[in-house]
This record gives sequence, C-alpha cells and structure tokens, in this order.
Amino acid sequence: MAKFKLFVEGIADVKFLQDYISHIFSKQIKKHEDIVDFTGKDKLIPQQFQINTDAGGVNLLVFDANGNFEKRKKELLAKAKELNIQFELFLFPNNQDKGELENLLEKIINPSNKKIFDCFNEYEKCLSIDKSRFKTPALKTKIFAYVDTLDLKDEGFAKEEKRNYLNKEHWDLEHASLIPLKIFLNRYFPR
Amino acid sequence: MTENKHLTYFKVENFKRFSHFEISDLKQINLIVGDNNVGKTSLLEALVLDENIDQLLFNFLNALAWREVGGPKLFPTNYLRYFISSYGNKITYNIKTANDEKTIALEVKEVSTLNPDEIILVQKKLMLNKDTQKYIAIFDDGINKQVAFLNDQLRSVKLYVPLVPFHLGYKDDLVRFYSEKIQPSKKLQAELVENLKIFISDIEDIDISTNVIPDQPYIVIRLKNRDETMPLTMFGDGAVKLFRILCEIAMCSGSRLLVDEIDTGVYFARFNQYWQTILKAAEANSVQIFATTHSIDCLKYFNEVLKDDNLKHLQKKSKVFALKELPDKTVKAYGYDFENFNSAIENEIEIRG
Repeated sequence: MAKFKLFVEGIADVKFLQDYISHIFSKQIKKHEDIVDFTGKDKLIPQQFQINTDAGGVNLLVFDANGNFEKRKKELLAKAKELNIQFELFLFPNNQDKGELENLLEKIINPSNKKIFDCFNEYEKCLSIDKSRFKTPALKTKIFAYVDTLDLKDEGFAKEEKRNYLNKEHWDLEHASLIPLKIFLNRYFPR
Repeated sequence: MTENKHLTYFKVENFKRFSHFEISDLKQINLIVGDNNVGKTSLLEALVLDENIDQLLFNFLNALAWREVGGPKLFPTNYLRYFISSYGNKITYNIKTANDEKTIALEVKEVSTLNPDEIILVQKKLMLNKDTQKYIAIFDDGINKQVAFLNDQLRSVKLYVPLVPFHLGYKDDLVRFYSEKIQPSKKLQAELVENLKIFISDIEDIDISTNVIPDQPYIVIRLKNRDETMPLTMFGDGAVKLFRILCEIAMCSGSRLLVDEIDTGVYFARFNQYWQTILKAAEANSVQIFATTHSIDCLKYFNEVLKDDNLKHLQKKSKVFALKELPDKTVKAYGYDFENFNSAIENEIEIRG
C-alpha cells in the first residue's frame, strides 16, 4: 500500500478523520506524520506534497466544498497545477454537493438525540422572525450545541479537537451519508 | 557588490553520503533542517569549498579534525577519503553566483598512477617530494589546474575556516578574531558590547587579558560598577556562542559562514534577540549564512524576527531548507521561502523532516 498523507483545512477535520479511519480501517492516524492541517487553500504548502510524492506516497486532499462543489474543485485543481503538486481530492460533505464537514456531521448524529436538533431548529426559526436584529446561527454552532448538550459532566468534549466520534451514543459512523467518503478512503486504506 | 559572491546554486557529487546533491535558489540566510544523519553537517562541510586548493585542503583538514571521529589520524595518508564517497576518487562541484557559474573537480590520485600530462603538471612539486608523498590532489575549474600534495605544508592559507562546528565554544582563535576584526574599530567594539547585552546585561567593555591563564591572551568582560574583569566563559555558553558567531561573521565579510547547530547553548527565550543580532550582523557584513538546527524554537523565532519591522526586508533573503532522504537513499533539499515556512509555523506544520 502506498504511503498516504491527508491534507485538511481545520482541526475539526483532523479529529473526525482520525476517528473515522480508526473506526473503519482500525488504523491510527498521527497528526503531522499522516495528516497535515492547513487553514485554507491559499495556504497550501507545496513542499509538504512534494516530499510525500517523492517518497512514493499518495496525497489525499480532504477539504470543504463550500458554496459550490464544481467551483471549489476547479479552484483546487488549478492550485495543484500552479504549485506543481499532485493530490487525490475529496470535498465534504459527499464529494458531489456543496457544503462542509458539518453538513455531514448533521446527518450522522445518533437518531436517539434528534430532539436536540428539533429544539435547535425551533430556536433558529424563532430568531429568523427578526432577521434585521438576529443572525441565524452557523451550522458549526448547531453541531457544537449538539455535542455540548450531551456533555452532562462538562468535560469539554464539544470542542472540535476533543470530540469523540467513536462514541456511538453521539454519532453513527455507519450512516449511509458516509459511503462516498468510505469509497474514497477505501482506495488507500484497504481493510 | 560583495553579494555577487554569494552562492545561488550548489551541487556536489561523490561527497560523503551524497552521490549527488543539489540545492538551488539559495538566499543570503539559509537555515537547514532535517533528520539526524540526513547530511546537514555534510552539506556544511561540502560548502567549505574554496577556489584555492591549499585553502580548500586546509578547510577539509580542519573540518575533519572538528568532527571528532578520530580526526586526520584515522586517515594519515589520504584524509580526503573521509570526504570522498565510495563512488570514486573525485568530488565534483557545480556552483552558481549571481554573475558566474563554475564546475570544479577535486581529484585525489596516488603519485604512482599519474599519467604523463599530470606528471608534467606536478613536476616541480614532485621533484621536491618524490619520496615523502603518496597522494596528490588535483583541482580543476575548467580554466586552471592546481595541485597539492595532501601532506605537504599548505601555503597561501588564511588560517581561517568559515565553519563553526556545533560543539565549538571558547578557543584561543577568538582572541585572534577579536583583535583582528573588532578591536581596531571603536564602532565595532561598541556594537559587540551592545549585542552581548542579550546574555551579559551589565557589560561595559571587552578586553584581552593575560591574567586569566598566565601568558595566554584571553577574552575578558568588564562589568558596570565592577573594577575587575571576568573571563568571557564565565557568562555561559550562549554568550560565548554569540561572541564567536559575531566575530566569525566579521572574519568572513562578503563571503559565506557555515554554522552547525546554531541553537546550541542558547536558551529559547533568548532566540528572538539572538537571531536579530545575527541577521543584522550578517546583513551589515554581506555574509551569506548557512546554519543548521534541530530546534523548533530556533525555527519559530527565526520566523518571528523576520516579521519585525526592522528585519522584514530580509524575508526575501531568507529560506529554510529541509533535507529528506528519498527511497533510493539520495537526499533532496526542499526549500521553503518565507511565505511557506511562515504558513507552516503558524499552522504548526512540521517542516523539519
């Protein structure tokens, strides 16, 4: 198997992929060694890709699709050409639609906790009545609220870097929404 | 412009672990990082290249002595064996500066194997050394050939090697550097005193004394409100290290200085001022620096000082090179310009290899 290296754009991505790959492939992903966290496409550091390519490895760029999947894909491939680097690309949430990691997380919560989202949706609805005074909370806030609500002992695991996606009471890592990611990773992490 | 002498490209073949190694887009300040035994120090040793064969052999001999691997005694007849890789008897260099490009070969031959042309080339030296010398070095830059017996007395040598080994602290060479380059100028003396305040806050003056070790000149420091002087070594490794680097920068003005493990002996909280001082001195003396480090703090503060308003202009003149061993055992240099190493450091991305 070729040596892979994951490149992501935030600490939330790092923790999620570490847990997901651990769950699916029983493989521990180490920060720095196996996964590199950039903070956005303009900060891609080409040497990090070149080093892994020269070592015979495969670069896996896992970023958010943001507002337009095709546009984002095009931008990143143009960046690869500009920097003369090679990578395989996956864009959250499912490598075909717009969105981000949190759109995926929203779908993979444990259904028994759905009430939290129901309440949050009501809260959003309530605020949206007066849009001139209140903004609708970001999706990140909704996910944070979900995990934080479950943190009954105030252990601080709602923070992106401390979330435990392996906790089955909170998350369902076998959810169908994860299939595109699983197919993508399967090419590089055979079971 | 003395900066025209600065290397922009350097390639060496058959040198120690490098079958071939190249490093391009060199800047004035080059910080070299990488795993143990990847070849950082070997690169510095290759960079002691001098276009005078006697000086080059003198540089190699000293570099070998500093390696503490048994020194030249391990290679009594052919000390260049330590530097030439097992692929042959010849080291080849390709160097570029802003205005020049040269290919240089340094070949070692046993006297008994010289061909007729080479015998003519070395005839005069051979007559003087026929029975005492076994190996001869032939330096060829494509225009001129120079020859020297390996164990001959080296002439036309500056008695200075622009390489600071990591363990080199106080030695009596500092007295010479100081008295030759700093002491004659009041301005340089005052600057050195000011710079040493990083480690010796109440320093007033620097002097040379024979009272520390009888009849042996020694660098001493006079403190404010104190009558007597104290040896430089009393103020710790950091003070000695900075003193040495500043003196050595003055020694190789307009040329290049090679510093192995530039962080050794320096407490992390001092790195900011330490780097500021070194960068300003390198700039003032037009010295091209090649320095190695393992320290992440050293790297972080290097990045930080380059964001300082007074040193921002050096961002374009600075680069970090990470050396990596490839699967085929060759070593490749990955150059990070300021924008990239700044991004890496801000995002805590490991670039040291």
